[in-house]
Amino acid sequence: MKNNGNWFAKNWKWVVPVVVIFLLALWFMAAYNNLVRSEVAVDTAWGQVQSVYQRRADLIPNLVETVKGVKNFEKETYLAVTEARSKWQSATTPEQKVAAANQLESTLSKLLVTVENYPQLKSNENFLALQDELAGTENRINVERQRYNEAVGAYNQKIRVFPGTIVAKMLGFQPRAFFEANAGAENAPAVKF
Amino acid sequence: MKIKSVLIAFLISLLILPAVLAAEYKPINYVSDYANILDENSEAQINALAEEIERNSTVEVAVLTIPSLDGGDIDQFAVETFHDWGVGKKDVNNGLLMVIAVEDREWRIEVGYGLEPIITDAMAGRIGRANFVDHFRAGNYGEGIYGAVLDVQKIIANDPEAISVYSESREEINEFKEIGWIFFSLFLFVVLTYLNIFLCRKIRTAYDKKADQKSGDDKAKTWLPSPKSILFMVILLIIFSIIMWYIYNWTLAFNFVVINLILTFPSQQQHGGGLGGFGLFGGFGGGGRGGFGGFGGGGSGGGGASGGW
Repeated sequence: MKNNGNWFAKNWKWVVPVVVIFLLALWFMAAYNNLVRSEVAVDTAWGQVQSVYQRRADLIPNLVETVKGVKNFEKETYLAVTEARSKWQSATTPEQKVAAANQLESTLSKLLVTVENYPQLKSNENFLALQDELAGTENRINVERQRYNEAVGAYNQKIRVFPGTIVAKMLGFQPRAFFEANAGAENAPAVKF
Repeated sequence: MKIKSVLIAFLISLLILPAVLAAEYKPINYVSDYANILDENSEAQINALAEEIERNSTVEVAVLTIPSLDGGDIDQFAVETFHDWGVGKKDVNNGLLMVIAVEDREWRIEVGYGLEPIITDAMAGRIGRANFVDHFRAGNYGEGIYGAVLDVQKIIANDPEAISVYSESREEINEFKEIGWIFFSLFLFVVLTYLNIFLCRKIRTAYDKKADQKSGDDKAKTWLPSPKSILFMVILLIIFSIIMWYIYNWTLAFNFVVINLILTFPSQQQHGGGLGGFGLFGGFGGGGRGGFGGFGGGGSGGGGASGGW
């Protein structure tokens, strides 16, 4: 026991730095893994956003078929939707996708308002089912967009807050952009998780 | 010791805090009737039916009735509650949540990710319109909900896509994880505390020797660790707590530091006396209920349908 005590008393000048460096390396690893996890969460959330938008685009042909069958239905409303859909299909960059998705959103809501003027549609079981699907899709879009923004927020915070910011700067983690809702959808859901 | 009891109170408050901040509605059983619209009989019937569904298909059906949304949006409320409760098994997300807001006269059937292809939004809408609207208008809430759960059972039947590899619920899965966590932290605590006590004594001995040589004064041999060892311990604690913060979160890091301080200081006087502090961590593993075992940690993304009556 006494020998050990003397050993540490003699050697603490190098033992302490070695331990500190070891712990710092551990911390660095943990911090790096943490950042990577948040970044992957952001990518996953973006994938979900994409897939719910795809889901909405897939529903549109059905919707158009249904309203086409109604007498005197205003053609231009559903033609605008079809056009916006094909624009969305051909968009490649995330910016184009977001812009096309927003256009799709506004033309679609215009169509749904028009539908209100056709009572025969509102009692049609097929149309009710389609409306459920559309409402469900809009709801999914809200949910996934909100989750994406939350993931981005958490990630951006992590790379800006000390001491994580040191690791982030050293390894080149870049902040990500939020998904901005378009002007027509400014009543974005309140974040209250 | 006054300081010690203050520290313990602080620590306990940190442990309790997350529970107080959590959501208002907790799952009571498959049916959580916060609006008190169901009589005992129909509540028991629905619970039995939901249990049967889970036994046969692992699908978890939850029902929540609330008096009012307090101006909130039912779609948002349902998706948040679904998330908080974790309805459905974690691997396939095969949960379904029915929310009935009585004063708002609104209902929602929220479908988990995994059930979306089996129970489409249109089907959820039809289930709601067919069962809820007329029964609820007549005040037969029990009958309406029972009918809807029965419809869900018929649709799922034994669709293999809905079946999870887990037949256990989250309670058990989580308990396992928690046990792992407790062992890990116990391990850290034991190692660190031991290291602290050990090093404090070593350095103490060396320090005392020096003091003895200088003055030969016996009073220098107090129970307090030497300044050097305190510094060393503080550095260790800071670094470990940063790591803990990164791995877990700040609450745990604080608990960790506080427990370590409580464990280390008294043990200079009375060895082993501080070990009682470990008992506090028993609280993490508890919470097992009889019968209904909690939900399995499934998720949903806004699928399903809503309506009014």
